[in-house]
Amino acid sequence: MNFFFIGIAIYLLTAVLSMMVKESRKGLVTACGTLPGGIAVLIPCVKSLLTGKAYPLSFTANYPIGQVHLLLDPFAAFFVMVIAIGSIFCAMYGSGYMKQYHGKGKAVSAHFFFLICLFVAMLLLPVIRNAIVFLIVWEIMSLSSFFLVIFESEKKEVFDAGIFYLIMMHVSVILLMAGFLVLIRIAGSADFADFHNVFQAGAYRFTSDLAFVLLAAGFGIKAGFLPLHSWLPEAHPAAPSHVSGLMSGVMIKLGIFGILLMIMVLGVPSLWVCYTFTAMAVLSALAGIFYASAQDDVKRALAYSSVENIGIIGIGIGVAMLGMAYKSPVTAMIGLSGALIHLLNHSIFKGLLFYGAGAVYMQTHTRNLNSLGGLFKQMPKTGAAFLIGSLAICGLPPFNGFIGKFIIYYSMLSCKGINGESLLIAAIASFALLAFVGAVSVICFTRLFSTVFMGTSRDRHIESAVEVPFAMTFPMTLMAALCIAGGILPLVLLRIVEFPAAIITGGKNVPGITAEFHDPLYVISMISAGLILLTILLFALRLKLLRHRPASVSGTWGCGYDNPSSRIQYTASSFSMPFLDVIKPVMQREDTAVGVKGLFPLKAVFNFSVKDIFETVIIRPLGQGTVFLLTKLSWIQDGHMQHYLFYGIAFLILSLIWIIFW
Amino acid sequence: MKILITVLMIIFFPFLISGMIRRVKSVWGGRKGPSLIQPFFDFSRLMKKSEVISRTVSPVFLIAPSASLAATICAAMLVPMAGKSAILSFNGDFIMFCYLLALGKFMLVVSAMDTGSSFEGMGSSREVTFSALAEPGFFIIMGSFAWISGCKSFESIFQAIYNSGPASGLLILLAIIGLFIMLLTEGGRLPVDDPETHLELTMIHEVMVLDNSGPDLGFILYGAALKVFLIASLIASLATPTGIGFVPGLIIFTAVVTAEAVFIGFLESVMARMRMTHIPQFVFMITALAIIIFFIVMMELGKAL
Repeated sequence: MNFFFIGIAIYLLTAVLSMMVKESRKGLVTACGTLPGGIAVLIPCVKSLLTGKAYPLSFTANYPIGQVHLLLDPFAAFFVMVIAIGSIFCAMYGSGYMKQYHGKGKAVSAHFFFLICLFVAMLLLPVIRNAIVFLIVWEIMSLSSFFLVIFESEKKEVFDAGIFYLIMMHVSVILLMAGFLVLIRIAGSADFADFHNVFQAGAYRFTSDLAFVLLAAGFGIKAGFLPLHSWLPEAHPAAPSHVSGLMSGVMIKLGIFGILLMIMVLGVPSLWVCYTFTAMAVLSALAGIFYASAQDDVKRALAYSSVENIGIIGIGIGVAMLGMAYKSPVTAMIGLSGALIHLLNHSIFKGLLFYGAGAVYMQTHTRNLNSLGGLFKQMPKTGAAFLIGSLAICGLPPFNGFIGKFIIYYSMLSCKGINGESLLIAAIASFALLAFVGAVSVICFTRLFSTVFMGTSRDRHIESAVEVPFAMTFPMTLMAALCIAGGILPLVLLRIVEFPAAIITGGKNVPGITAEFHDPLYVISMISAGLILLTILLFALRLKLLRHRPASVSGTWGCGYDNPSSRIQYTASSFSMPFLDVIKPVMQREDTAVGVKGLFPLKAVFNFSVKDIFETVIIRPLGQGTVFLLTKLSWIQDGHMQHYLFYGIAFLILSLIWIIFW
Repeated sequence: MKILITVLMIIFFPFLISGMIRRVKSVWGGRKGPSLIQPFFDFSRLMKKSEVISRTVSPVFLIAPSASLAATICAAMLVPMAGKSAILSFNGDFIMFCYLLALGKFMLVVSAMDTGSSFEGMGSSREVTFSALAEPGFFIIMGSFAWISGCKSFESIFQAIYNSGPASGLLILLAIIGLFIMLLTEGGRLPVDDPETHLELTMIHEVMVLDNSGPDLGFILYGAALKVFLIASLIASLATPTGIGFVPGLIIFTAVVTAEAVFIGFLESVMARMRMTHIPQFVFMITALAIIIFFIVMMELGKAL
């Protein structure tokens, strides 16, 4: 625990230092400070994850907070580890990415300060075991990330996206406050351990379900579960790329953390809550990947893919909850291990993909898939890293994404033997839909990667793009290496999540339960290594065969047409069109077509846009309703200071009456 | 010994299957047709050639065929063949099988997009769409089988499914039909894709490899034939009865695979390719069959409870 606070102190010191040096050095200072800080924080985490030890700490704060307990157990350590690793990569990449804004009168100083604020708030959250302090730090996290999102606030769309994000975060906080208030009212204390003692026995079934639903909704907004996901595709494209990488890779995982924390504290909720949660998770995964494969903006597509991955993690958690509810510790343990491994992996490859998209944006100043193309030759390192990230996020072996998905599939297969047909139906449905989601993510990411990096450039402006500086390629290379390492060494990943998963499920003898799939993972790691080796061998064979036969270079075969332009390439929109046609009934798609007419046609235009159905059906009407109601109440805020003073006094008198007579 | 035979089958059967399909089509069309091992001669001829490379491509285009073939060969190690035994078998191997095939597809699609040709883009986009629609069906079939048999690997599921109750024959029949549609989809055969069409616009699989040549094209052709063989051997080992020993198993396996090749050849002789817009409905048939299988499994399990 000492190293943890030393690390936090280094972070804070870096924040102060970064404000004092000149603009061009701020990034470097942040990166150099985050590295030792992150490593110091990682030391107790690794220790706790490997041994299962917990490091408690408590102090007494002033009224109304009271006694505050901090606890770095394996569960908290797992999340702290994800955040610390994410922060190191983010600061490194950010120091290179922010160079484009130097000397332009931008608030670079404030940016780095809030970036470190966000790191610290996120690092502290998992160890706090007191509801009130938790909410305070949660709010610091939301606010500092808001300031990071609106870095380019002179652009209207960025500012709008930022405000939308701020509102959604506060809806989330209100739900969290309501949920925690219910718990505090019954437990008589704000301490998580007291909640646990009061609710674990299964008493207060209704109250604990109510609190769980409120809190899961609040945390679900942060995590990006359906139908509350719509801030992700707005805020991620607006933020600078290292921030979107951090938010998507790490920050939304704290929403997952909150849900797991509630399972741990309140015990598993009623069956209908478990089933609803699993259904929402499956829907998130499906809708997320459907929308992702229809976007023309690289970062919007990546944001929707985050919704998908949060859904996949949610499926793992849902299986675990059902396993706990049906008293099958094996299913619960396997499902949760899969969810946690996928969470860890997603924090790496999603960060990598956002950083890759950021590198492309920095060099080409566009995120529009239909004007990119052919960048692999100009930016080979970024391209290779993005390719590895895409393969990993599709869950393909030999990369880390496969491991998490495999264990989640495995958890559903292990549902057999549990009494209950509804569980079997739920399991087979999520089994098949997860497979479908995986296959659609192949569509989505072949489309993303190949329209950005393959072929030739679709726009003359991007032909001048060159490889990004070392400060940006280095973290991307490291993350790509981690993606491969995770695929070859799945047992290491399993070892990391065993203790946290055991703590959440409340299981005792930990490594025994997961021993069942040690063998499969062992074979998988051999096949993955063999696959890489075989690829190298085949490639070497090919080189050997072609050694004395020089290749002749010519144009691409255009079916007899020998004067092709780069504009005739297949575009991102056309690539996903066959699939979008298949799923047309569930997507709100608007096509506008001006066809070819007459003997001498002038111009043909085809446009299509996909609207997020959840935004048009749920979020917008809610927003309009709120505005309608609040305008009815606007007479309260009439601009007279006297009236405002009167409201204050009236409130005080009313509370006095309430205290006396209740 | 068993492993040696399996390896030999993985090496030679893909060529033989393509040869047999071609031969059946020739005979049906009133021609004599090429030798059964002509695909092998084609392959070795390609290995001896030099390459023509488009000037738009990046290194990804050069690596992709090797990576794709490597993934398919790794997938081949998981498939139970003669005597229902695979080279490698572990719990959940059918999940990895699917994802390895997807990896091969991913690499080929990306390399096709690297040429910047609109035709290859068209083929890629169709390839990923249709195979995505085949995926859920396969998983429902395997998941239901895993539950009713209580096993989690290809080998043990296929062993145990024979003794899984009165409906096992029906289950196997439905699964074979489903897998056969998947074979036509993934293998790029009629009525989903016409491998011998002459118009690039109507192709799916063939159009993606227009710009590959030499050893790369050889790798791709062998990989595609291997994929057909793999799904064909899934069907064949599902059709083999359990517990009859290795040699009878080998004979039945070979016979079923041959029968499938002949049947594909027959289908391709009498059918035309479907309209592109109708293919999704055809591919969804796998999911429909799979859901029927799942209902039967539910009823069986419900009896057991």
